[in-house]
Amino acid sequence: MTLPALTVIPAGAGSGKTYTLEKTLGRWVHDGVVAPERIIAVTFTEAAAGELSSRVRQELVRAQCFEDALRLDQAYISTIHGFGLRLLKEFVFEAGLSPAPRLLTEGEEDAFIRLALARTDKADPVLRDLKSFGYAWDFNSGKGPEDKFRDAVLVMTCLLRDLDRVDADPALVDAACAWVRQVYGPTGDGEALTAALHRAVCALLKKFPDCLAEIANGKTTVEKAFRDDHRNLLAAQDRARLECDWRLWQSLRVLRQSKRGCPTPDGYDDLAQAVMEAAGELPGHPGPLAHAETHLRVLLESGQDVLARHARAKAEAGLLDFSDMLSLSYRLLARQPEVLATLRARVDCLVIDEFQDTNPLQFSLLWLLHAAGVPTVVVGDLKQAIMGFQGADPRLFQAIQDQHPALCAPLDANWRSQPALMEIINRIGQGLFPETYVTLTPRGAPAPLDPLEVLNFPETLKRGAGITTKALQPVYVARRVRALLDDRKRA
Amino acid sequence: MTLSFHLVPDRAAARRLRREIAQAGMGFDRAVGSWPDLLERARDAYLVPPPGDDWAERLSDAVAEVPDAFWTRSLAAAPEETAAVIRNALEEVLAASAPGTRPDLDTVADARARRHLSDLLRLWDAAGCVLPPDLAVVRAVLDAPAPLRPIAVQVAPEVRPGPWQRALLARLSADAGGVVPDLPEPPPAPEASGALTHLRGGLFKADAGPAVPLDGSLQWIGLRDTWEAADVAAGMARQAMADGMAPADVGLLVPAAAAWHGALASAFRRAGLPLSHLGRSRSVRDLGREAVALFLRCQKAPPPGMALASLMASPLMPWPATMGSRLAEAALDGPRRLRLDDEAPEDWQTVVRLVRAREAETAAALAGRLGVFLKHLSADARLAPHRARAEEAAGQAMALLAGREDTPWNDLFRAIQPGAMTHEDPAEVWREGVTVLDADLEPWRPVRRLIVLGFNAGAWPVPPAVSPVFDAVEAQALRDAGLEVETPETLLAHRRALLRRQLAVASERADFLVCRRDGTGSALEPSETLVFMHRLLGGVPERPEELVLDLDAAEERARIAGVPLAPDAPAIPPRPIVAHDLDLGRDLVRLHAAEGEPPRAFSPSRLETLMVSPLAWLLQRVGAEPVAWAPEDLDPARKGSVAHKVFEALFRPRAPLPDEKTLTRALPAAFDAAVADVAPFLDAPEWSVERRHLVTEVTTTARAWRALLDATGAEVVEAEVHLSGTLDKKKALPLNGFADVILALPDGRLVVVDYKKSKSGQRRDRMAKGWDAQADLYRRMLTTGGPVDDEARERLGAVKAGDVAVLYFAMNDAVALTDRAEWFGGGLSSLVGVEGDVAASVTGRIRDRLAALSAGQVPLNRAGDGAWLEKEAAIKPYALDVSPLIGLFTLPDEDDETAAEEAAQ
Repeated sequence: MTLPALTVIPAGAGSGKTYTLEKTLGRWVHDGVVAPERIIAVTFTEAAAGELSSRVRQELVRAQCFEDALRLDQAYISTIHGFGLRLLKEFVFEAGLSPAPRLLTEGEEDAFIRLALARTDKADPVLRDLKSFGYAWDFNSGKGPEDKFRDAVLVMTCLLRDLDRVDADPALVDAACAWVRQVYGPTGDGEALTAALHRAVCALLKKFPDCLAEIANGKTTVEKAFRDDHRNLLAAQDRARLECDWRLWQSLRVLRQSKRGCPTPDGYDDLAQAVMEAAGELPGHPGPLAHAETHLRVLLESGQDVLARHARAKAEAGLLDFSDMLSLSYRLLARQPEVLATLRARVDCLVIDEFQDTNPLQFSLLWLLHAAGVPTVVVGDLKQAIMGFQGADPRLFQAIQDQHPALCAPLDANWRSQPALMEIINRIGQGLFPETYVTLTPRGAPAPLDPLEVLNFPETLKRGAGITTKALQPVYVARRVRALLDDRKRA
Repeated sequence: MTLSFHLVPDRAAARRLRREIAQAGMGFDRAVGSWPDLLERARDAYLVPPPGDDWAERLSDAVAEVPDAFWTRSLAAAPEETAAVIRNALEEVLAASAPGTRPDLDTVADARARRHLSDLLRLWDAAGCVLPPDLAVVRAVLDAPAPLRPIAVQVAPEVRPGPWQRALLARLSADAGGVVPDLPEPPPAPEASGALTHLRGGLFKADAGPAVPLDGSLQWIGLRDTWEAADVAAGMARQAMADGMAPADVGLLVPAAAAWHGALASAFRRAGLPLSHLGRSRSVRDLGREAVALFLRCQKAPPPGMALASLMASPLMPWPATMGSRLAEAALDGPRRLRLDDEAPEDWQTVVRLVRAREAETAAALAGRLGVFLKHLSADARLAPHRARAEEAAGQAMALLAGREDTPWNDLFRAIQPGAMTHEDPAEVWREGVTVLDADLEPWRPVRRLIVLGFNAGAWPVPPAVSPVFDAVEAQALRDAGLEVETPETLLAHRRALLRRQLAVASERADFLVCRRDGTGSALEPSETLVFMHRLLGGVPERPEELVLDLDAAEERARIAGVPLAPDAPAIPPRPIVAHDLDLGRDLVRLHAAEGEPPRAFSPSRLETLMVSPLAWLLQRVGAEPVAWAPEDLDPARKGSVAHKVFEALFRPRAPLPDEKTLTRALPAAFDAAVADVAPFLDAPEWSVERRHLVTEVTTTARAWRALLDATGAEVVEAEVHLSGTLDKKKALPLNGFADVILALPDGRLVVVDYKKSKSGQRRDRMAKGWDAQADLYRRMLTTGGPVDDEARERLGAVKAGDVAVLYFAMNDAVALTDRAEWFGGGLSSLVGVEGDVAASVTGRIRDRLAALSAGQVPLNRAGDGAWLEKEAAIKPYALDVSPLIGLFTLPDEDDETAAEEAAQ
């Protein structure tokens, strides 16, 4: 028996994915086509790796493959980072790293990025005025503009590493800027647009030099709107600011005009309209485009520069970070064919779980093995793609399914949920993913519980003084749980 | 006369055998020991001198001399770590080949293994074919003439001798005439029954026979972590005593990690149970190297606050711990705050002077300072090992500094770091104690009940470490070529056999404690071995992990045997805080004031704190605010301090207003001085982004302020002026504080100014709502008192009776807020007027709170105060964060209390 080069298993929640893997790997080992210590299985969490390993081991014991079950301890069943780290440990000399690397702490990473930014001049155009590039205090995270800028550089370095574009590359920067220009669309004569807005502002202020806040009759929001407008108009009298302050332009695109119950003095609305129309030309102004290009260039160039300095500093200190476990492993296998060949000779099959949460670098690393001829099983569920914020790209899984429809073996049953609940889930799935949703056949036993219960709390409760939803919710939820636990007939 | 020697695998096995020999009365002229003990005996018997200690040194030298070796690139990146790994690999290879032979490369089938082996042999040649100390002794014994006294060796079956060991044993045996010492009759193996017997016999064996039903002799218990496991084990041991067992009847099989030793020692001490042979060594802080590392960090300007504080608090400093804490707190506020009283001892003064000194200009000067520092370390005799480590680290640093002009900071920081230090606790000898068996040692006595701790993935057995030199396939290739190296498979087989022997000491029951979390809270899985145990048992759940009974689940807990449980009792609700809890029975307004004297003056910012939280005010008043043990942070307050200082330097009283050019020219120097004074850490490269941004912010703001002064014609008449006065004439509560600026308008009217490093929005709302206290309090001081300084008082004297405006300059949006906008004229986009009494609601609240404090009561905050203040008074309640005590002494909201009570009824 030879293993298929590629098996694609789209598998929804509760469809028996781990069971399928356990049985498949167990069978392959039993049939002697795979040696247990020559399995690479990559899962998303350590817990999932532990569970898969335990279940395959049990399957081998059940199948009387006792020695194989013992040898499974030496298999590579881990998270993708665990796999990368093991590669770097086994081939540490080929990678030219310290044989006793230490994982970088968050504080050290912050210090390294800070030092690298201090030593690069690529960030100067933005650092000269962080505020104008939108870096401001963020109340949600409690971070200042400097932290936000460093975060942006860090995100860029992560993206570059995930794409393995870590070396200085002017072509990448030019291509990125060209893409921004293309997305932005055509622009007009910036000087003329600025002059027009300036004229409109001056005309308004000439006739209405004072703030209209007084006509608000004590309505604070109206008062604030007029006051803000007036401040912005006064600021826009300064032509130099109009040449670079796009936030100011933006604020002039909407001015308070007459509304029911609060009419403005005669003539104000027309002049304000003229200002709004002139400011409305902002998207056609070349200024914001140039600003965006500068910003992107700075992030890319300083990102690459910081990466290079960061990498040197880490190597000198014998430190690794989480991304290194993948990026250095990828480089090791991609650039040293003899290492890939050695590893290939040590491996019988590759299993990739939760494939929808794979990012481009992880995919590239694992696909090197597939391309080197390691039979590969990928399992995933596009509906469960949740790691986009960390750079995961579910399109990779979609593309593999599209390219190899004949190799797809979807699991279309559900063993977890009772049939009544599955009916609801299927309907929601069909609504959310009308074209791609695979209806799951319920295989779970019917349950006495209702498939869905709603405890509906109104936004605010007006019973007596100050009884809040916040105070009541936990009380009623706890009562309902208690009632369910006490309901022996259902339990 | 021949010496009889019993060779056993380790010290625990030696302990067991010695005990058996003693009990059998066979002790005369016998020795028991492991391999190093036998080597020592052989050396003595064959008159072999001690081996040279140049193995490591010669290898470390030679490792760089082998061109194009597989380790060359790593050696450049990490010389010491690489040399250590290569040295160990060569030692393993040499020990795996028979004495006098050289591994034959041609017989090694794997290409990578062959290359690595070839490079290791080139290294050995480069090092002059030096042998590791152990093998050198064997070589010398093999080459030695007849011994003074032959040694007859009996080898325990668990010993796994390699080729060199076999060669030595053969020589000893030949010289002893082939005699093998006799053994005492081994004690009968402890009898066991049921599932435990089956487990002892069948674990890891393919032909274990049919499954047997799970009975009370085995159980797996799931619990939280190491510390809970230690507590539960102690409880189980106590329960066993209560059931009539002796302490020695209970055994603990303990993982090798040091954390287990600490947890067990602590739990069993609390339970009043002695432990027999618990590991005595524990890791301790490397105070000596740490102190030198911190000292060096503090010598590079600017010194990091945490390094300074940590150094001050180090037990190696010449002062007592309380002084260390005080100095550490001061250091966290910046190096300039680090001061000692004049009467402090001279050696204390010397150390503080050293750490506060400017950066040494030369490497030699730094080396000199390091020498002085060393001389002033604490002379406490208990710290002698740490002083020795400090001296060693300082020697290393001085070697790096020697002959250098500039200080190689990075090399110093990398080389001088705290290392791992262990401390050996004094041995505790018990006549009777709970039996402790170590994971990696042979069992040393039988027990009735065995508790296996940390039965988690990655343990029982521990998987072999990944080798960067020979992986599993390559190690096997070496074995196939005749080299007796360990492979992961042989190691695992050995460890599994050891685990079987360890379990075999239990006669009645074995309990496996499975932790759910590690020390960092990450989830842990049960040991991989659980699957192999599960297969031996019948009538058990389908999944092995379902064997584990969770102590936290009521139903499963009821099925656990041998763990004493506290009886069920109704929960006692915690006593809630009530409003009168902080009734301190003395006049708190007059704290620190002598009888008959007025109370100590209140500053506007403290009165603002009082408005928000009287408890926060009280904690500040008595100096009980906690100091955060945290590195420097450029928070808004620190930014504000820098900006204030810059403004103070740029806008001087009674000096002409600088024009924009002059201002731009003067700003960098003013900024540098401000940073040096209040935020010296900003000079470190790590803070360059913050520094640049702050310069930009301050420059923009200073220009805006200049423009405003220019446009209004206002003149700075006083800056940072110390004012005093009273809250009002009736109560005469003294006030004092420093006003940022007092402006005189062209018509002579005065404006008291407060700079704020924030935007204007919330401040404006606060003024409009009548909740603004600060500038108004300065105004009160101007109208009820005035400047403390005579000259300033004289200058302002003429206008004291007149009305005074307040003005906030919000630096983050360059907007000035004033309650007398009409004084300034119109048309200024950056000046916003607020009508009405900006402090209308303030005075009443302050009076109420002062009245309560005078009566000794501290009005406590309610949970909703923060939200109320933000919404109704536009005040950010920072004061609620002054101390964690404020949260603990916060009353629930009356509404929430009522709602929850009603809902619960």
